[in-house]
Amino acid sequence: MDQVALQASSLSKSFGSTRAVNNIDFTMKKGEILGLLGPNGSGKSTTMKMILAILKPDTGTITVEGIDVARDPIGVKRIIGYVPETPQIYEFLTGLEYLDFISDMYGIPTGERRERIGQFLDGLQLRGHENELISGYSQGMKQKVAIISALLHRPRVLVLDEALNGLDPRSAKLVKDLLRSLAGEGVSVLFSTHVLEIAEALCDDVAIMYQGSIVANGTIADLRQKAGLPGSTLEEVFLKITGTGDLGDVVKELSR
Amino acid sequence: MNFRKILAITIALSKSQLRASRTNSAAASFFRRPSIILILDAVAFAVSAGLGYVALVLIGTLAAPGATSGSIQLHTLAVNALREVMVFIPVFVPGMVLVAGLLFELNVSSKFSASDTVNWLPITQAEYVMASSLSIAYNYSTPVAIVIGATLFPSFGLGLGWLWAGMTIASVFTLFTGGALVEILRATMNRVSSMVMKRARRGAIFFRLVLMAIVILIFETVFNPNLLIIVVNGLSGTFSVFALVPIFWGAVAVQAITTDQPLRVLVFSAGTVGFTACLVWIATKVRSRYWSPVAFSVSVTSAEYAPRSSSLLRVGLTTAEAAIVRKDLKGITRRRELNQMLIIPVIFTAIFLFEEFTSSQNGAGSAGQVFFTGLPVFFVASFFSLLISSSSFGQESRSVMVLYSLPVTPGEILRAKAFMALLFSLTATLAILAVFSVIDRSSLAALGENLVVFVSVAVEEVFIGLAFGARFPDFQEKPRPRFMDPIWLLVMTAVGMIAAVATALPALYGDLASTVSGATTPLYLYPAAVLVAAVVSVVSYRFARTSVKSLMAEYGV
Repeated sequence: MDQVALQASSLSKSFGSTRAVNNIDFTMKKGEILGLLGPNGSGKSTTMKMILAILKPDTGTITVEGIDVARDPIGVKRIIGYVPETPQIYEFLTGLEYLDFISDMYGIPTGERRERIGQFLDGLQLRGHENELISGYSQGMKQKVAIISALLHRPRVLVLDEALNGLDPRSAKLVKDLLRSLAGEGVSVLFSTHVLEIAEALCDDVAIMYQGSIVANGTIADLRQKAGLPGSTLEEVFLKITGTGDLGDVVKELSR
Repeated sequence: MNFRKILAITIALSKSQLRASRTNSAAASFFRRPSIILILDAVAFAVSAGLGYVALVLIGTLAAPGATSGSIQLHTLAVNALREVMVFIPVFVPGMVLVAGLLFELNVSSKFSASDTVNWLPITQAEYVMASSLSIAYNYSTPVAIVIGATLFPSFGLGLGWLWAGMTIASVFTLFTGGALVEILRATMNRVSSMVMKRARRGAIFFRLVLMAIVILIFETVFNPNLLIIVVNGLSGTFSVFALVPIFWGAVAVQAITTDQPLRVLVFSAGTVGFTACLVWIATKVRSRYWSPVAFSVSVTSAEYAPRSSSLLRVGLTTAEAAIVRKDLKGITRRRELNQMLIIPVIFTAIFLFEEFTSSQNGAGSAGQVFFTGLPVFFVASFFSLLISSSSFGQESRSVMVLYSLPVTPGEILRAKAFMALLFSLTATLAILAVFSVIDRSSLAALGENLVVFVSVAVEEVFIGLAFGARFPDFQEKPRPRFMDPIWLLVMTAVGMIAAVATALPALYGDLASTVSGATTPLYLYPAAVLVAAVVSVVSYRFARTSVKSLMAEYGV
C-alpha cells in the first residue's frame, strides 16, 4: 500500500445533466508516469481537478500519498505540482514576480528559490524575459512559466494536463527528460495528452477515458493485446478502443 | 461603408455585453438576447407612459373650472417645467452615455483588444466605430425610453405634441452622439496607456495613472455645462450662448419648436447631425491612429533578482497573505480596468471643487456649501470603499484558478483582501478629509469628529463590500471585467449607502446645523456612530468568511 501514490475509487462528477466522470477507479504507483488519454470532453481535466480538490466529486474518494483529498485539501495541494490545460496565470505580473508569488505560497525559503528559479529560467530559455510582464509573453512562454511554477516546490506528485502544449521542441524534450528523471527519484506523474507519440514514449502505464469512463488501462503492450492489434501504433489502438477509427467518409465529405 | 456588416457587428457587440456572465438557466438565456433591450425599452415606455398619464390627470385638476389662482399658477409652473425638461433632454442624453461609458465601457482588458476578431476580419475602422457607437446607444437606451414615455401624455394633453416629437427624435439621435464620444475617449485612453507603458518602466505605472486622471478630467470639463456657459458668455455676451456650442444644438432645435421657428429647427437639427458625423469621423481617425492591435512586451525592472522576506510580515500577515497583498497591489496599479478605480477619489475631489467653483461663478448659488467638507469625504469613504473591496475577489478573473490549486486557506485569502481594501480605503478617506478640511478651514474639533465618523464609515463599507464581493463575484474578463454580479452590485450599493448614512448622520447633521444655525452635534452621537459601524463590520466579516469558504470549496467559473 505504501507504494501507492494516488488512488481514485468510484469517482463520479456531473455538471447538470452531463456526466463528466462516470464511476472510475484507478491507481498510480510511486515513481510511475501514468498517461491519461481520451478525446476532447472525455473527463480527463475534470478528473485531474478532482485530484487537486478544485472540484468536489459527487461520489467516490481520492487519496494522494495517503492523504484524503476531501479531508485535507490544503495538505494535498502542498505535495502536488499542477499544470492546467490552459494556464490562467496573473498576466499583470512579470515572469519572475509570478514565480516569486508561487514560491511564497509554497513557503520556499528565499535562498533556495533564487537558485531554483534561476536554473529553470536558464533551462527553459526564459532568461532575458523574466522581468517582462506576462501579458506580453507568447503562449509557449506562458506554458513554461506554468511548468516552472508546478516544479519549484519539489512536489511528490505531478498532475500535468496537456503540459507540453505550445512548447518548442527543445523545451518539450527537456521537460520529458526531466519528468523521466523525476520519476526515477520517486515522483509520480499523471500526464494527459492528445499527442499519442508522447504518451508512447513517456508513460509507463496508460488509461484511456471515453465519455467519462475508463475504457482501457495498463501498459501499452497490454492495450495492444486487448485491442487485438499486436504490432500496431498507439494511435490505432486508441482509435479502435474509443470507436472513432473510421474517418474515411468524413475526410471525403470535408474535402469535396 | 457596408451597412449589413455594421448591423452584424452591432448585434455581436450587444450580445457580448449581455452575455458577459455565464449562467445556463433558460430564464438567463432569454435575458441574453439583444432583443431584450428592445422589450425592456417597450416595457419602460409603457409603464412610464402610464405614470405620465396619471401626472397629466393631476396637472389637469389644477386648472379645472373653479380652481383657485394658486392652483392655476401651479398648473402654469408645471407646464413650463415640462417644457424646460423636454428641451434639456437632448443635452442630458450624451452626457449620460459619456458617464456610463466612463464607468462601464472603458475598462475592457487590453489583452483582449489584441486578439479581438475585429483586428483580423475585413472590417474598416469606420464600420467598427459606427457599430460600436450604435451598440452603446442601444445598450443605454432605456432611460431615454422612460423619459419619452413619461412625457408622452402630458405633452399631448398640454398642447406640446410637436415639442415631444422633436425631443424624441433629438434624444434618440443624441444617444448615438454619446456613443461616438465614448469611442473617441476609448481610443485616446488606449493611446495614453500603451504610449506610457511602452516607453517607461516602473515610473510609467504612476505616470499612466496621472495621465488617465487628466484625460477623464478634461472630458468632464469639456462637457460641464456650467463651464461652457461661462466660457461662451465671456466670448459673446449672454445672447444665444447655446447656439455656439455644438453639444447644445439638439436642445436649441427642440427649443425652436416651442417658439415656432421652423428654419431654426432645420438649421440646428442639421447642425446636430453634422456634429455627430464629425465626432464619428474623429473617432474613426483616433482609432485608426491610436489603437494598438498588438500586445507589447514591457520590462518592469532590469535589477537582478534578489528574493527577500516581505515587510508586510511585520504587520502580522503570513507569508501567503503578504504574497496575495503584493500581487493585488501590482494588479491595481498595472491593470487599466483597476487603475480607473484608483483615480475615483481624485475625480471626486476635482468634480466637487469644480462644481463648487463653476456654479458660484455662473451665479447658480452655493447650496453645496452646506455639506462642503462632509459630502465628498462621505462619497469616498462609502462609495470608493465599497467599490474597492467588492471588486477584490472578482479582480482575480480567470486566474482565480491559480488560488484554487495552491495550498492557501480561505481565511488567508479573506485577510489579505481585507488588508488591501482597508489600506486603499483608509488612505483615500484620510487624504480627501485632509484636503477638504484645509479648504473649508475646519476647526480641530470638527476635524476630530469627522475623522471618527468617516473612518468608521470606511471600515464598515470595506467589510460590506467584502461580504458581497466574495458571495457574488464575477470572474469573466470579456467583454469587460465586471468583478461582481451587476444585480448584487446594486443591492450592495443600497445596503452600503443605508449603513453609511446611518453611521455618518452625526457628521452630516453637524455640518448642516453649524452652517444653518451655528448649533453643534450632541457628542453622544459619535460613539453611537462607531458602535453602528462596529456591529455592521463584524456581521459583514462573518458573512464574508462563510462566503469565501463556500467560494473556495469548488471551482465554479
